[in-house]
Amino acid sequence: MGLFDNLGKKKTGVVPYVLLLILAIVVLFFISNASFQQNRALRKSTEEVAHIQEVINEINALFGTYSGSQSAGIKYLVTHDSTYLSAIIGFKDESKLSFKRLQALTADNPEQQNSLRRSTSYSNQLFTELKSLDPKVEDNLILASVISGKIKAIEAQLDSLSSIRRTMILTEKNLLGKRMEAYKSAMTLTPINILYLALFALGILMFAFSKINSDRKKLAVTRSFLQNILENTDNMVNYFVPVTNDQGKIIDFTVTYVNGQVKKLTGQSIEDTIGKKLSEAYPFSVEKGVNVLLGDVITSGKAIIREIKYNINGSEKWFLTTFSPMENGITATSREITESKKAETVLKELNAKLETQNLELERTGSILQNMLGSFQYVFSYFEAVRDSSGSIIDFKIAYSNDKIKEVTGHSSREIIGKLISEEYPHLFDNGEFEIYKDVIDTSEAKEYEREYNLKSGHFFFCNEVVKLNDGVSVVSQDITLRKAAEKELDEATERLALQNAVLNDAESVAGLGSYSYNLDTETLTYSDNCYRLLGMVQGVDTPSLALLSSMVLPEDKEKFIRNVARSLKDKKNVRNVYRIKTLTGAQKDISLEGHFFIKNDESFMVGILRDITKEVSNELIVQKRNRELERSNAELESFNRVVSHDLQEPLRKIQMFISRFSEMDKEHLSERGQKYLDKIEASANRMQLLIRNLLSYARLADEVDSQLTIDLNLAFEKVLDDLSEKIEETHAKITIPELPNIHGTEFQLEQLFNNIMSNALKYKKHDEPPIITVSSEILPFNKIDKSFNLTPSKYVVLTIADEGVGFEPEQSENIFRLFQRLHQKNAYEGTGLGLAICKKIVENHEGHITAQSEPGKGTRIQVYFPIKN
Amino acid sequence: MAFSGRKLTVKSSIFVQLNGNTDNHRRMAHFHLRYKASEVIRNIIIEQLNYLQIPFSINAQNELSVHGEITEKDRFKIEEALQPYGITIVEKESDSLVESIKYAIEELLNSPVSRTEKVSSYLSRKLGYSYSSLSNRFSEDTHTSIENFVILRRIEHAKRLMLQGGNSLTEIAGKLDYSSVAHLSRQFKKTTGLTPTTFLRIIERREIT
Amino acid sequence: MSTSPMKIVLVDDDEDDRMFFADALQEIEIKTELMEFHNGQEVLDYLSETTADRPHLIFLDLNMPVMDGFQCLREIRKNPDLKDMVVAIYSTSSSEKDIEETFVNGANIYINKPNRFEDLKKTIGQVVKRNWQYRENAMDKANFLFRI
Repeated sequence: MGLFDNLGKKKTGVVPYVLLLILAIVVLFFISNASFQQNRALRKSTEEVAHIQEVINEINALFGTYSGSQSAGIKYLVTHDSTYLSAIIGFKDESKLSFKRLQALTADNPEQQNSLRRSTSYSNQLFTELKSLDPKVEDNLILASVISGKIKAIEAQLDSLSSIRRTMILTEKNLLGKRMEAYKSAMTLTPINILYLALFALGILMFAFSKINSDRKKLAVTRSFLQNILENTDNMVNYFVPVTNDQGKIIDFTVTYVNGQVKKLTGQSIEDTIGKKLSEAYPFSVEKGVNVLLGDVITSGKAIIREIKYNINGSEKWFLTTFSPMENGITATSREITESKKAETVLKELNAKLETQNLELERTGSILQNMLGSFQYVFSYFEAVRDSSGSIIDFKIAYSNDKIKEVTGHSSREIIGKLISEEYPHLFDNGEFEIYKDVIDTSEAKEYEREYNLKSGHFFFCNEVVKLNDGVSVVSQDITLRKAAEKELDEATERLALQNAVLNDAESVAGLGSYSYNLDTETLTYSDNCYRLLGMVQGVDTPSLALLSSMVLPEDKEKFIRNVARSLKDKKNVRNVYRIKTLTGAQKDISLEGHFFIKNDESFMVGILRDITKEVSNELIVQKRNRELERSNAELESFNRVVSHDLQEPLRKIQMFISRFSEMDKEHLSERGQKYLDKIEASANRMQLLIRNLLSYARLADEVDSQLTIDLNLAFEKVLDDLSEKIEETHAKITIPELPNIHGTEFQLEQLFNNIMSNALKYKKHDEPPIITVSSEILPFNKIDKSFNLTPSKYVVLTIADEGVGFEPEQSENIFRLFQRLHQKNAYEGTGLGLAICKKIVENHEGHITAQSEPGKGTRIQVYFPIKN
Repeated sequence: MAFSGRKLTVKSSIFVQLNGNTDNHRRMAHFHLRYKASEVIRNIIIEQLNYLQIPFSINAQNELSVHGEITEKDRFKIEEALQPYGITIVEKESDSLVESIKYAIEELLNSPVSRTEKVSSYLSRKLGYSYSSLSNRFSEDTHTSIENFVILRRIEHAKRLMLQGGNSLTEIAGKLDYSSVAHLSRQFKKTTGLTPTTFLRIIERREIT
Repeated sequence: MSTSPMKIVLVDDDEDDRMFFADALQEIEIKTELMEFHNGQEVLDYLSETTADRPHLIFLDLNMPVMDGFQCLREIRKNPDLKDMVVAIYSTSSSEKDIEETFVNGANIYINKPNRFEDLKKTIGQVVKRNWQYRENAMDKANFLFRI
């Protein structure tokens, strides 16, 4: 594609480069012109400067002669050496020559000419004065004053001449200055600028050149590419130039170009074709009037596209040709469409067939018709794309009808010519590509259903794939709706089957029968079980309201008739219970339920008849039992109250009076009386303990609420505090480590540990102080005896070990039972409730308690508490 | 003092009843008396002071105000006159000392720094009395020892901190200079009969209802 | 007379218990005055009639005819005039649930009726003393809770 991009840009790209080139040339012209001008100015300046220098030299030479003659004159006056006089003459001659040269040199300078003219008079006077020094006049010589006057006169002349000289030199210097200015102003471009400009121009040149060069290369590539395309395209390309007769009428065409396809399509070589007349090269085309067509194109100047069937060397071939005018001739690009024409024909036939089918289908039932109406067919023809080894690597979408748009959202025009790998990549994933290949390989048509999750939705298609030339035609039928309907139907059928099965079972199991009563025809129908329930025989006894009514026991009959009449009138759903005597004479309680509905304009009452004889009798039993339970609960409650208050009250008072009596009058009693009083007190105390324990045991059940996080350390602290008297009394040694928190009811746990600890203190060895060791660990569930039947969780296990009297190992279960006392009543005080209470408390906490012991070896009580989150 | 309408089975003398004196178990015949104790006392005082010819007034709090100057002798006379009835004059001075002790304890509990000094030495240093004399004075007046009172106040502080919320028991124990939470819990339980948790739960439930 | 006697009310239907209570009260060191009532209604009637000289402490049995202690306690707490009074429940019930309920319903003190006179004396003494402490030291009545 990149290539085409460049091609597209080429035309617009050249203009800037050409402009750049022109600019570079202009710059270069400008530079050379400027350089030439400057060169000339420089040369001129150099000449002028040389001239000025010459003038100055000449000026100096001229005025040098004057000053030389003056000094010679003075020297003569001083020395009287006559050679000086001859020197003056020499100077004079020299000055004349110099004057002339200077005059010539300054001919173009009026100012200098003017100065020279002025200098003439002074130089003449100077030489006149010097001449007056001549020896001829030596005799009448010479007074000093005269000499000095002479000298003065000479010097005055020389001074004037010197001033002229300065003026002249100054003039020349000014001239030089002006020349310099002029030169500078002529130097518009400095050498550096010139260099830059030159480099810039060079840069442009190089850039433009490289661009043009690369474009040229690309152009060459493009050209060869296009050539390549032309040569390798499936299209046959011809260029025809019209041949005219004398009247200018087109009589034929010359083939001036044809690409390699000509060989493939017509069997002629390029060489044989080019240069030939149309009628000679392609006689079959003339049959079809192509020459006339070409003439039309020439005259109209408009392109024409035609599908034409030719008979080439005995075989029929379809070509799709585009005739376009180009310069004097016509290009004709022809594509063979024989295959697609055939496919089209096939598809048209298929379409026709399907349409017939469609029509047939339309004629079937109205529901089906609706369904079919929404069915869709997508027709596609995929051409195989093969790699160099000939195996199929892809398919080209050669045709697709417009239904595809509803499925994929792309119109057939958009996708035709594309590859399925681009357009339907999912075909490679779902195995359809393989199916296409198979169909081509085996030539066997295939039909299958597929589910597609496309962007435009979820579809079910039934695809029929048929080999067609080197490709497959795929007819896809949108069966999404059908699938959904099928699925629903399947489910409904399944449900129904299940319902029926369940219903049948349920009827007999639950003692149910179903009935249906048509209110309009007054006909009653029963289910099988309904017959059974009513003791009726199918085929013998006919269901009717009257028969059913006759079964209802007299005491319920009135109710039955009233209810039936009312429900049939109001058409309200009903449910009633009646006692009946069936045809077999069995007495039953039945429940009748009914629901009304209208079907096909007929009113129905359908419902269930249920044998509830058992339930009724069960209910009576349950009611009776509940009453008994309520009574027993009330009794228990009152028992609790009796125990807690009414029984405790008199006992407490007995104790109170005993204490009052002992305090005040015990000393007045006989020894025996005192002993009896002690006995009374002990018995009362024991009774009180018993009542308390019993009460707390009974209360445990209804005090399980409000479980909180309990710090076992604090619980034990309290227990030790409560038992402090006993601990001090027995000098017990108790070790309690840092204990964890558990979840529970505070006072229950305190009571639990109190009971365990007080047992440990109580059942000590006679003469030894009790040693009690508490320890705790956390066990995972798998480490806990399964026989405890605990719920899975981690557990805190508390072990309270004493070194007391212990008990027989086989008693370890019994000790947790109510009123189970292991020891002689008098040996250890106790009620036999302590451990039973412990067990109940632990159970309230969803835990477990165990006791291990051996006589004389102490007891280990272990308590398991679940760790709750 | 209108504590009236009382039905009483009298088993011992009125003085015993009023003074809570356990020594006198003088038995009397069974009969019922109806009286207003406050009026009896008031009448006795009025009677006695009138007898001594001292101008006075008694307010509802049983505070006796004597009008004008009162001499040591007068004061002694009043004491002498009321003494047989078990009525004594309370020294205002003593009250203020007890108040000072209470105030000092309060200061001690409110100070945020850890206390190394014993309460006893702190109080005697602070108030300039020997601890035993402070202790005696305090017990006489308040029916409790200074130690008990300190505990009581400490628990009161703990309760307040607990109810303020935002304080853990550990923090409260630290603030009130308990050696550990267990120590605080134990003392709390001993003083109130309730664990701190139960106490808090009760207060919370009360607020709900 | 150093201080005025503490005015105490006992509400209990049991005559023997009232007798034990009065005897025990006599034997404690703080001076007290006792009034006795037989049920909740009686004491409420009395309290609503008398606006001055409120008792300092009410001992209230739970199990009583006419109006039980629970109801009486609730009535006292409901009445803005009476709600600040110190109420000690004086009962045989030792159910933890009952005890907590009475506290939640506004009891300040819970006492289990003891079985021995000595214990009774000790208990009443503690309660009276503690109440006296609270009264004298202006401690926070709302948080005044304890049980013996």
